[in-house]
Amino acid sequence: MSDVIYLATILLLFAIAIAYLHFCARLRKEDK
Amino acid sequence: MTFNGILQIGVFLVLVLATTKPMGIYLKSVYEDEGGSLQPALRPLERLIYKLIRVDRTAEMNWKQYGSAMLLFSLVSTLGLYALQRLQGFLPLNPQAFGGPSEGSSFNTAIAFVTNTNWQGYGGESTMSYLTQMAGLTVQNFASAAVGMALAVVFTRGIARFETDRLGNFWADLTRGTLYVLLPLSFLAAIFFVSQGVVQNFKPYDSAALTDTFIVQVDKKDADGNVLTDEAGENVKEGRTIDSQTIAQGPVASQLAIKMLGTNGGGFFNANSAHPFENPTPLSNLVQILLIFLIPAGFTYMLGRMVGSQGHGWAVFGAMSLLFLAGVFVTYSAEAAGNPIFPATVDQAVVGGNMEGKETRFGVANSALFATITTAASCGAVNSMHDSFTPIGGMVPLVNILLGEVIFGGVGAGMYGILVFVILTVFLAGLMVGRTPEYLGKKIEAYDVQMAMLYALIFPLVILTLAAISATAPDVGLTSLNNQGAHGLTEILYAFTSGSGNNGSAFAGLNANTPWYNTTLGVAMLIGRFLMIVPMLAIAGNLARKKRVPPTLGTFPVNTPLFATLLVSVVLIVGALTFFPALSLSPILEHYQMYAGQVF
Repeated sequence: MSDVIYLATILLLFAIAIAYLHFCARLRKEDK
Repeated sequence: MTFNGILQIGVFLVLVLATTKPMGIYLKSVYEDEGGSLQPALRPLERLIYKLIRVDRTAEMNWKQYGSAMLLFSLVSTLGLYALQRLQGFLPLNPQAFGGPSEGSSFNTAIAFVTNTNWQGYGGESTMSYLTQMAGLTVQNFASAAVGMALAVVFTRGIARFETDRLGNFWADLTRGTLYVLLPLSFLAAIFFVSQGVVQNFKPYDSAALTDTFIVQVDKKDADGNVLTDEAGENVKEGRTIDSQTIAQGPVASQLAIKMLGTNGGGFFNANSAHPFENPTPLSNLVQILLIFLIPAGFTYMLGRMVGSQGHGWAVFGAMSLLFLAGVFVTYSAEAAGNPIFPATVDQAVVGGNMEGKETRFGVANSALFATITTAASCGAVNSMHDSFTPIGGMVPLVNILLGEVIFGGVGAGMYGILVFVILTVFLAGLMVGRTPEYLGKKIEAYDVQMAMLYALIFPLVILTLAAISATAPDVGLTSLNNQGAHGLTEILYAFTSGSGNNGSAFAGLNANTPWYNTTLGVAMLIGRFLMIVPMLAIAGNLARKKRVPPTLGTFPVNTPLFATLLVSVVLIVGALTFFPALSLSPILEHYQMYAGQVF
């Protein structure tokens, strides 16, 4: 069970990083 | 401090200086596909790799595509390393029959090695099979270093290019860095380390009979292995005679080479480069510290060549060297002064100063030098225990990481880190004279500074938040401490600083192999790596799009000693303003308490 939790945590953290990348890209568009 | 010690530090700096230019030229030839000296021999292999992974090396990416590819590669690497650890009990090359580490430890270690942190909450020789060490940890030593190098090259391309959104191909940069830089240099270094006595084999561990046996008190257990307790609920103890010592073996030299060259730092053995099989001689020690700075220093020269301003590359090199020299001499002088708690009748000068936690074959000077280099450069390998340094001597490694590890820094990470500070420096210089800041023919605009601030702020946010929670959580944070008071706070602060900064060195004195520390440090390492890379890539992408602006009389030159001095000031001021309150409660307070006779 703990394996599932830790694997899900890894996936969640990388999903946050991808979302952050799109957030930063969007900031530039709004800046323009 | 002794003349001999200062001379050794001087020799090291001269050697770094001598390797910077050739390394920089070679790095540029590799990443700009200019036919480096190894290209004729390795080109067929490089083409085969592209064919196997179906990559067109000429198809360049924009910053979002580059970042997405890097994140995808790192995600797959993390999941793979987690699985390899958990399954190692069923896999070959495991002569000691180790089972898989716990879920928390595997999570922490997988993230640590993929993020180039190499934080180790476990003892390598008592936890990991040879397969995990070689196919998991060592492979990630190469991969994470190559990722960092690729990112530094992308930032440099962002500065060097105009009116384009193309920054290179992630898979091609990853392959080139590994194939042409890391693998050949690691091969040569591994051979050298074997010549010095570093072990490289697949043998089961040896056992040696002790000539001087001793007795230790251990918990008494019943026939089923349960610990016995007395009427008061205390564990019953019994004496156990220790008459033999396990001599760990393994493929150490091959991991050691990339551990230093890739500024990874994760030791094959728990004692890392203090272990006689991992760092046997003063000469192996010198080569290890040279390998740490080899690529980061070379990147400064590559920067100058790629952006067409060699003076700028040397100005960045000079700023880094200045910060490095300040750090090494503060550490060395603090350690050479010894511990004031000793009675005056004890002459510490005979051994060179504070020798607690240091190896006699390295002495105070080489221990102080190693500690400063490994934390300046995001390596994290240690040849002495930082926990045993004097408060000020131990504060310098901590401060080096807190400044963002931009003093040469990790392979690639140091380069893009200092370039973000360069952006801030140019911006501040522009504010001083009331002009739009310009950097090498580009106007620095609001978006660049926004991203630079996101880069600079996420780091202290993670460190200070998690350290504060741990320092006020008696059940999970404080139970891992060996020392209380200011020293204990330093241990917690150092752990989260090392994790978030992707350094990986342990201050020691903190048992981090607990569910709380394994999980929070794992999260800190991921945030400290990828949430800092994303805004850095955004700056690179934005810089590459800009039109060239011709320099005017009002343009702040970035190839002068004045610029280097301003860059040093910005690095110090940002770091000091952010972390001085935390430092004043930990090593600075401990320093005054030590001179008042209080120890922890």
